[in-house]
Amino acid sequence: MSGMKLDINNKIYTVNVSPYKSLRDVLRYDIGLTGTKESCDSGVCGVCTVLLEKGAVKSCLIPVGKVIGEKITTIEGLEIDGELSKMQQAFIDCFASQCGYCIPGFIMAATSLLEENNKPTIQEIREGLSGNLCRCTGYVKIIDAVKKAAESEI
Amino acid sequence: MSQSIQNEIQMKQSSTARHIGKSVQRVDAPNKVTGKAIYAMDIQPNHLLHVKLLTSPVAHARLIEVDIEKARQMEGVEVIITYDDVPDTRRGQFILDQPILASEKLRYIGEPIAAVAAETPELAEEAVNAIKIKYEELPAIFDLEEAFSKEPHAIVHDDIQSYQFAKQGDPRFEKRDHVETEYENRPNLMYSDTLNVGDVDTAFNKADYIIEGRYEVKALQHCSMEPHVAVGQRGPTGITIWTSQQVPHNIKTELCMAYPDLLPGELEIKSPYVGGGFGGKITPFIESILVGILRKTLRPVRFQLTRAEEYTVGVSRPQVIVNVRDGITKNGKIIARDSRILFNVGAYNEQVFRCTISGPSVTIGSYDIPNARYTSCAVYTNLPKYAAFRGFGKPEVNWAMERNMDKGAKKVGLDPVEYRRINLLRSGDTNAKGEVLGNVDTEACLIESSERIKSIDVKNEYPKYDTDEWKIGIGIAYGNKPVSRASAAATVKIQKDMNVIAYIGAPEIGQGAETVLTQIIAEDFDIGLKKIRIIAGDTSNSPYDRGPTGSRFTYHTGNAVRKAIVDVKEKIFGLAAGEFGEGIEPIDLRTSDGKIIVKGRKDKWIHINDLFSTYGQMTGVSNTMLKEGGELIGTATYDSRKGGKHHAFWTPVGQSAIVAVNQITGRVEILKIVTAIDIGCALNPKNVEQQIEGATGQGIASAIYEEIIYDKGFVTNPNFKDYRIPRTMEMPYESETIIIETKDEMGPYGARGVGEMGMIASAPAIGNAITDALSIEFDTIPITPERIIDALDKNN
Repeated sequence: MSGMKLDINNKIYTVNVSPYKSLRDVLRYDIGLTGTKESCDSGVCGVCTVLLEKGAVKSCLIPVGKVIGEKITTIEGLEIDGELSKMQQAFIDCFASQCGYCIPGFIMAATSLLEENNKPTIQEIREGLSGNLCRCTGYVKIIDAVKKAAESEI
Repeated sequence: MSQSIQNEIQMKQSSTARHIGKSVQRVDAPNKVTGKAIYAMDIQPNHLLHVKLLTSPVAHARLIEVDIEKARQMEGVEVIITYDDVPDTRRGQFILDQPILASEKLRYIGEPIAAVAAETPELAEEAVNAIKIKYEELPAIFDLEEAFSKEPHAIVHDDIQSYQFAKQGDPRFEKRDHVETEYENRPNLMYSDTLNVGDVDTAFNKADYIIEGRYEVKALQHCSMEPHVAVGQRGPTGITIWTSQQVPHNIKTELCMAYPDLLPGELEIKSPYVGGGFGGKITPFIESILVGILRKTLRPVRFQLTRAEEYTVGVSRPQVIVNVRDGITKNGKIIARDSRILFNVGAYNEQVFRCTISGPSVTIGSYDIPNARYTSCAVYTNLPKYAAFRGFGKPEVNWAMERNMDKGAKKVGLDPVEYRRINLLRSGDTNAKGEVLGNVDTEACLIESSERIKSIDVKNEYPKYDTDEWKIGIGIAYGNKPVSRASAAATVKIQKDMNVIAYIGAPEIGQGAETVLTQIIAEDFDIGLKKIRIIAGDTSNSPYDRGPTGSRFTYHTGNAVRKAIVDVKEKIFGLAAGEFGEGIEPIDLRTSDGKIIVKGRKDKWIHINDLFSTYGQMTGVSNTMLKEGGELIGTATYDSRKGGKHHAFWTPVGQSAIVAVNQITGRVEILKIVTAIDIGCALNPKNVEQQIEGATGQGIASAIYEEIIYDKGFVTNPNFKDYRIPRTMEMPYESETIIIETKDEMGPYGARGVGEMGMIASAPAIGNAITDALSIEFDTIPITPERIIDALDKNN
């Protein structure tokens, strides 16, 4: 489909691709926003998580034609004017990243979680992040980071 | 090397340190939380071709014909390669058993036969489907013990006698079979290693009890979140490959062996940030095919394994079966131990050879056992290939050792901690291999982890589980993990304003390599952390490094960097002494924040920039060129293979767990797990915790969750839906790390390695806890709900 307009991180991008192509592949390979990762190809691991207005979605499962006109936020869109989001800062402060490949997806899912529940318990964080996989961390410090972001004032 | 500078570096204590021992922010974290970190997966030159593989549909067959004619004509197809298009070489570590693409025989389901490079992955896949193969099926063998037998019903490599060996410079590695008598003439035996110390048989006769068991560890997958991916491009001087790999220098060496006419200068390997490795990214099984394609096209090529191919084309942790016998006295002293260990190689040797020689060290490394014997065997089967996984066989073997220890404690009526304590090897003791244990506090690891767990008031802390449905259990385990000797080199370059670049052969795979090196460099020059850049994982820029494998990085590369700093300081102080004149010698100088200062005279200093040239520099002081020409570069190698020790060092670890087991569903919940480790010196304590929590998590995965299921050589669960990696709800949030710091004699600032240690004793701690909860012995991991329900049914 020619001239599809996508609203990503408050910028308009025009792409000429099939509307059935996954949002993830369009982000990574047509627009060059490679912070959104690919791993399992089946909506299980969550490394490709991005935000739509309705909340976090796994972009490998979303045909790009479905999100025309929607506001899409990727990991690259969280840092505004050189200022990290409080979730990004908490992930740094709490040593939540190791290889870091799953981290953009976790940050997007956790950002969405706090939008729905701004004072989650540890148990609610664990439940809220159960759609994302990490192989390095054992999750302990990821959960710490989300807790810290929820408690921070910014 | 100047002795005085060397002494100055060694004497510096971490207690007075500016950066060492502090949990400074990880230098890679800002890139990783913003999406700026670049992985091999993200490299995308223009006009890329995409690779898909035709792989073997059968586990064992004679390959008769590969017909690519129709596929070659198809739309978008640029290159197709088969065995005929690549050199007739075999590749491997130790034994050279593996062709680049299948030749006359197919040996496992998933073995690459042909590779297509096309305009899109979809067009490549269509062409793969159009390739026709003819083959004649042969009997295949999957069962490890049967494959090991003297008369197996199938032989995986019937021409093994003709295989060459990679030269290892050690006579042990130039033949396969080192065990006489009963281990001779086993056609699927790839390698055997053995130890026999003392008089084992006599000791067994003297023992009051013999405790024995057969323990099994099922195969599991590394599941790095970034799959194997390599992107290659031809340039004017040769081939550049960006790849998700742990040891770029070894990848290059192996590729140059596989392609004998490829000169070292014609190939460069770059590993940018690596999205997880865990031992699965050490050998060039995709790069060796990629090079074959790159030699037939001028276009850049991308080769990525699908998640399903990770389980078949890729490598996994081997199935291991251990038979162990402990001969013990009434008062609980182990006087003899005999272990037979079988490692499943799969169809070709990627890394299991190394597991076979290093895995058994945990049979003799934890306890003082005067009469010890082991035989460790690597056995071929027609299964997809196996490799090292965080611990090179030691976590698998330690599962058996530490389960058997609990049975021994029960037999003599001792507490499991006390039984281990009275047999424990301590600092200064000599193990059965004749190796003296260095400066470590083994007992603290054992005691502190178990006492922490025992201090928990389970009923009050976890009231939810105080029902008839749940049973609570406590388990402890111990391990002492040796780290193999190796060499690593580093180069440091000083620029204007005391900006330092370090060139390192090992990539940042998530372990915190860049952060720890940055701390070391900042400490040794006494400068701020922001002055330092690490260029890592690039064979063209960096000297050799054995890579972040086997918990060796901080120790080896950390020491190499410190030696390189001593080397460049000699140059700096030599030049600076000349600037000072007045009889000031190099030995009188130190550096701090870009100044070169006369010791004891704070006011007498010059700036590092005073050494750089301004002559003819229209832009001011040169970034790198010295007044007298040349640059400030220091380079050095640290080689722990010198000195006659079997291993570079040993790191002891004690792990303890509280579990709740649901008797109706068989579900296990890990309520708390505690790891006590003698790390020597925690250069960055939060980074140490990261490694422990992560490795412990993988130990938990191996203990109760993950297993690759095979049906006649076919992987039935090669995806994240059916192969269940534990998620946030399935991992304990309560994973505690107790850091003990008994300084290592040789480690940088006294540090030892940590990467694999959380995996050494976590599975047996959990297994012992489940056994404690249900009073049923579990000898196979993973202890899945199905295995628990089966055991409960049998018990009733």
